[in-house]
Amino acid sequence: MFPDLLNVYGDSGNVRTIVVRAEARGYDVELSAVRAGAASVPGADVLLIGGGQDREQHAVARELERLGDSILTRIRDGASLLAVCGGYQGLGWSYLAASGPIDGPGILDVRTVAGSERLVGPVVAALGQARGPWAPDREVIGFENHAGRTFLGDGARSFATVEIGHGNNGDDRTEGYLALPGDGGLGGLRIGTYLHGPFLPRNPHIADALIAVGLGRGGPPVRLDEIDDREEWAAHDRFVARCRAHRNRENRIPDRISRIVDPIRSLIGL
Amino acid sequence: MLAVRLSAFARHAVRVVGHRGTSLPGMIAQRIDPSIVSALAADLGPVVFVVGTNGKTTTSRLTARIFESVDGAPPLANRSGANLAQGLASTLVAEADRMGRLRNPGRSAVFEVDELALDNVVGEITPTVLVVLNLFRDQLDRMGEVETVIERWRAALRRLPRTTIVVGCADDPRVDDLIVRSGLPMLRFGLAPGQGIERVRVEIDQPSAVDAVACPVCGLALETTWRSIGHLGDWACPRGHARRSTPDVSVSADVPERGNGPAIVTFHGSFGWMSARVHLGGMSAAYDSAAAVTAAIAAGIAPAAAIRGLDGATPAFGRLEEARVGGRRIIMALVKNPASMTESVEVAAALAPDAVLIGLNDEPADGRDVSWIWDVDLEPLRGVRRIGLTGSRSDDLGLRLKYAPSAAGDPWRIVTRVGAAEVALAAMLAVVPAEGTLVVLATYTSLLAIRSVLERRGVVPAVPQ
Repeated sequence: MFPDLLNVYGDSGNVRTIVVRAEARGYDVELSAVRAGAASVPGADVLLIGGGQDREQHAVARELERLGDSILTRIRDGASLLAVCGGYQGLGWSYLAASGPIDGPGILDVRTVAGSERLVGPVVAALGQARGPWAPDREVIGFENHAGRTFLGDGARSFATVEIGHGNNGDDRTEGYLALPGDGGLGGLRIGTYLHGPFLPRNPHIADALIAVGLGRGGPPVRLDEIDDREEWAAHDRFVARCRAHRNRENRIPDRISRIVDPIRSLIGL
Repeated sequence: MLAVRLSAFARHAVRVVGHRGTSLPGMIAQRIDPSIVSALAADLGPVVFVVGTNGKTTTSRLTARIFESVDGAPPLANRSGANLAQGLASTLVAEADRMGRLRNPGRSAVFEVDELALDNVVGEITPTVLVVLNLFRDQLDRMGEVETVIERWRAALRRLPRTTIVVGCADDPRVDDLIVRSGLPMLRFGLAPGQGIERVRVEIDQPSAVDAVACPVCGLALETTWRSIGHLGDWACPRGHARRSTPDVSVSADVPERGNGPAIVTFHGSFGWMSARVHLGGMSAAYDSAAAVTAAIAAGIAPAAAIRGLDGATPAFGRLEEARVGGRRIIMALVKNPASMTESVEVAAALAPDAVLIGLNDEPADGRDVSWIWDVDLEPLRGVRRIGLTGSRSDDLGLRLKYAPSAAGDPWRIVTRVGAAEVALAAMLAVVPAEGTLVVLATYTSLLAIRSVLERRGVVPAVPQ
């Protein structure tokens, strides 16, 4: 949705991952773009919406309000939805931006307010207690860069729990939003997340879950054939290891060094 | 003078420690005498500032070359690593005598300035000419959004006196609008439309280095009849509110096949037309050459002298820099954002290389977020027989290639994937035939690592610090 407006963080890679992984299982994939001014959202098994800059996000907000019912219809029919960063914020109830409040269609049960500092950096997060259609022992990884602080609605589920990074708001260690098929009376799997990278090539288990549930069209997920994704998992595991090693190194810098260095730094204005 | 002496001491100290830092001497001098930079700058001759996402180093280098050919001595210039306010201060203070005056009063200066430092720097040094090259999406983790950069530049332009001439790219609608609104005197440079730039493509499953640009008046997406790099092109508002102006200096480039020998860049303007030979490749080099010539004209140099001064120009660090190892040719291109890498990929493919090594690191100088590689069009490299991947994020390059559009036929021929630069370079050189060509496309610290291997072999000079 809105690939020409929300295209800032390589999120086109998410589209490609769905296409390539579905085609690898022998499915024909038809790709359509919902652009500003579209009358409705066409029938789909998977819906993807990416991140954008503030100005584009304002433009998209109007479109999301207008097309909200149409998006809901698709999810009711069983379409999977992945919303990243700006798209995640925009599909919630509201986004209190620095430039003014933006109302959203509330398809994802979250509210976002702008924070003063951007939350930027690599993220490693454990998939939560929620029994998603995926192996729970694999983390999700990505890169976050957002000023928004997102808070889940009462009883709403987070997608993952932050191990390294900031997540939804830098405070409660939640990352993203998750609604499973059947939640809220809707058939589709809904994931909102702040993770770029792009997200899906680096997290193939989530890509497959979106495809399997979407192709189930409201029924049970289809069984996808195994494909060779050793390369993805090797990359995934090396990234997690690198992030953990980096964190451990940072934690090891003893306090007494900063007790000496900090006054000197403040003296010379560094 | 205390500020200058202490700063000189710091400069030596920094050198002894072997640190590459360039900001400390200037910082110390400014702590002691906050007015030292503006006082020293007042003694300078013409001062040119160069800002923009892509091409700052090459354009500064070319402009300096023109000044040197006209003045008979090189202008004062900063190193690309010293393009923040304190780096400029260090550069100036190093030129001061013991009395705190400039050693060569009246000397001209060419400074490249970081996008986010411009508003600070113009508070202390007033440029005679400000060159605004372009504005692309770049390192969102550091720069923030394109709009943020534009606002900072707007603030900077408000601080400039009416005597400053702003040189801007006619093909970049955001740059053009910025300068027009500032009301400052303006000279434009741009590409002369010709072959090879009719590449307008909007596909959702294709990567796109093109940001949608909205009409500054009505907000509708601008339309283009041709595009060169990213969103640069012949743009117009569909409702007719604004359109590209004819540049004061237009440039066309004639690059020899397989990149052997110099390119011929031809400039058109009220002076007629005239060519220069430069050892630079790609459309970005044409833009940078035009920017340098236009800056020189704005500084009062005659067009013919400016273009003559460009003749024989060679590339800066990693701007299609060439090295030879045992008869094999290595061409190195620095890549840093979707626009610059898409352009470099095209240039690389046109060289029909035997092998391509792509290096991706995620240090702060590279940009910690590497997701931009997904917005680069890598398809032109599909025909390359040997591809190598290196750097701390070579895994991400591997995935990027794996998930390239699936319809295309040729598989990628990845022959090596290894983090360490030295190992990767050796592996690639081993598969390039004698007299063959290896192209290296790498982010800043990755290219530094690869280049330092070549430095140790003595086939390229050390990067000047």
